[in-house]
Amino acid sequence: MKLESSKTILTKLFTEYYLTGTQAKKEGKPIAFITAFAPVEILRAMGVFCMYPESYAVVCAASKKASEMIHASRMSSFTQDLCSYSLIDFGTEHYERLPYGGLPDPDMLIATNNQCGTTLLWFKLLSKKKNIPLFIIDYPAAADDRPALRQYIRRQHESLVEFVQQQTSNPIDDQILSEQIANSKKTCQTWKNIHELNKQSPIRLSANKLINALFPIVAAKGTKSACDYYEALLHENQPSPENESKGATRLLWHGYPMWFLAKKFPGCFDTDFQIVLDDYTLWWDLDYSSGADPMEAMTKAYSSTYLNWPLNQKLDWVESLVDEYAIGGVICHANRSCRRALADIVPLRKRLSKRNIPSIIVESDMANPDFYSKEQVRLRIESFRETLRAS
Amino acid sequence: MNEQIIEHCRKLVSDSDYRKTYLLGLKDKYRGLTGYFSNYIPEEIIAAAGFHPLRIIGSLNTSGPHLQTLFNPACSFVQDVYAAACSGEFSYLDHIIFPNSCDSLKLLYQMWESEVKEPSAYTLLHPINTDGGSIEYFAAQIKVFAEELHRNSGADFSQEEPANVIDKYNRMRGLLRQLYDIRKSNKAFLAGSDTIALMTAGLIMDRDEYHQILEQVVQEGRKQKPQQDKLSKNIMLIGPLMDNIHFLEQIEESGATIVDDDITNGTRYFDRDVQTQGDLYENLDRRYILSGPSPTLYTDPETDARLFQEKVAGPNPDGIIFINQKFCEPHVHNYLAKAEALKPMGIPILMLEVEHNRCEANERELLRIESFLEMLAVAEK
Ligand code: SF4
Ligand code: SF4
Repeated sequence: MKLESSKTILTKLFTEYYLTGTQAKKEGKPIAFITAFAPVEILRAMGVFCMYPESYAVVCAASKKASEMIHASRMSSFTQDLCSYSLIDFGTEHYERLPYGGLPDPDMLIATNNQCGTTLLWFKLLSKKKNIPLFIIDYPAAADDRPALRQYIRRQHESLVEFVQQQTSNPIDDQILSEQIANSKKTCQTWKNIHELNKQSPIRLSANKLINALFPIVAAKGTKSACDYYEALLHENQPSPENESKGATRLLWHGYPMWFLAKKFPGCFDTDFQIVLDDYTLWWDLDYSSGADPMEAMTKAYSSTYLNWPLNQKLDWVESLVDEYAIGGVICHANRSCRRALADIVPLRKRLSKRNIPSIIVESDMANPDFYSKEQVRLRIESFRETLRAS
Repeated sequence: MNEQIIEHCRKLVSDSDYRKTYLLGLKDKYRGLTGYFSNYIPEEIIAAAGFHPLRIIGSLNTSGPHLQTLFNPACSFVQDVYAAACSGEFSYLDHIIFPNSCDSLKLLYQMWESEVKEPSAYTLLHPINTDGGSIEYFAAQIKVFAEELHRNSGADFSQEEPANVIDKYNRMRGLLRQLYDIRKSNKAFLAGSDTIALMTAGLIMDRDEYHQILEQVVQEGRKQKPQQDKLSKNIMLIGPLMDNIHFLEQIEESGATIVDDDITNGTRYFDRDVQTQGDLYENLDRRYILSGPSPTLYTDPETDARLFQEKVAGPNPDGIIFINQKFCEPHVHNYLAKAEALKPMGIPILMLEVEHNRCEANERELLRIESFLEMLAVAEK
């Protein structure tokens, strides 16, 4: 049997995601809006179709609508300082030319703080405006060696089951839950393996290709289709035999992409060097390895997200990427939308500088092009190029 | 009103050199000085371990070598604290406690670990929900926190001592409530800006001294006959921490009287007591997690709105001024919720976004305040 190509699966996944959402609404199936690192496996095992407003904000930004939508949100009249994903989402109410006709209205909202506090504020407002029940999961820190914390998080996952049951009357299907966790685990592993192809030179997939391949792990993690997609992508990009050709300096992009640059990102900055990786795409490689119990696996996976890690863990991890991917310089994106993601930039640069690895900061935003100054970024990158040449 | 007391309070709040000298003077009395952020850190635990708890309120020094800045949009309060910390302004503290709160403080915590380092930082991982499981978890966290402080200080942390400390703090909160009540019937007794200075100074001052001061002020207030009100508009103040006393003075000089507040360093600090019967940690836990709802905590929005409307209905102000710190995301959302809750009450609200280390209201802000007050005057006619 001929295997489907990754491209075909991705197109299907993408279309199905938006179509199924609309269809589910028509058929009266429960829909939840959830934040990027919510335990989606539980919801799927209870027959809930999950949609990600953050992912939709990315679609809006890549289709060059972010600026208009943010202005339409009317929030900007008194503040421009909220996360642009949330501003785009607030704009959907007042904007007509929405990609895919917009998202269907959800029946429930699930927000977590394992990435930021913004999502809680955003979903709270959404819940109030639209009168939709909201469930909030608190992940105060990575729960590794703290039994009380593990127990607290696990209990919240159990309460989520009760909450969804109240909203839908659907019980949880343990079999589906286990399958979902197994798929998530496999997806994360394959995603990591795909990145590792770029350890060699020349790289197998451009940073842009990796970014474009992110959608299934964000929005379809836990499904078999997501597993199939990454299997296919890995299969299509086997390591090349012509390894270790000496090429341009290999760079790491640290932090959020600039979604509004769409296909041009980050290749438009590549002259004289090559951005081999944006570490942001690896933030989705969650660790489901803590035992066979699905609840336990989710406790570890969702409390231990990149943005929820202690500082040293973040720095060690980025440093390990620098070593493993033979990185010669780092571009740090100071994304003004995301306070949590700003914490590591200064200490990271210090660590890198101790090892004589040059780095620069580019200040912009992940989705709002109004905060992107092409000229300023060009100048920053140009001077970085000089530094790299000299080093 | 004793001018010296007010001057002392104002200086503790507004003059970081004065504050530092004062606090260094407390070093001999206590095992050490513990700085903390937010209303979710149980001061009683710090005090019972023999440390002096003091609220970090930024520097408000416009001079100083404020060279280090955080990226925007960390809120301007956090920016100011970070700059002060980098210039060694908190080096006389023994440790500093962070809450599990907004992203700006989480950013500051990580920068503290990496760049500031001294005094060492600790995070109290309090929950952000207020259901049964969260309350249970918080009690355990407070216990861990107490044990940590205990280990740190070697304090003999018996059940007896915390009970005394709790009693002391309850009495202090009670006195603050009395002070606010006195002002409700006699606004002229103490200016709103002075009331907030007095309230905020208590987050820094030696609590024994503070207790005496409060008793004296309350006694004086009780004795004083209500005086004729100035012809001014009654304003309620809302927002996060507002420690810029001069700014508040400027608001009052523009023709307003701050009659009540719903700010972090105001009524939100003292609105509940700790139960004294039963488990110590559970009692602290309930007091802290269930007191005045904060935008960084998840509480039922309907209940929040109702409680807020009740709070406003009491003083029934002519208008509300919401002062936010620049780039404070939680309170932008808080503003939206409050503005919505005020609609059926027909009370106008003005939102001002200020930069923490700017000691004066700028022309634009003053103009907006004046127009707001004028608008209130016209509405009355
Ligand atoms: S970009 Fe940052 S602030 Fe915005 S939703 Fe994502 S994690 Fe939260
Ligand atoms: S002012 Fe706002 S953002 Fe700043 S520390 Fe307070 S709550 Fe956090």
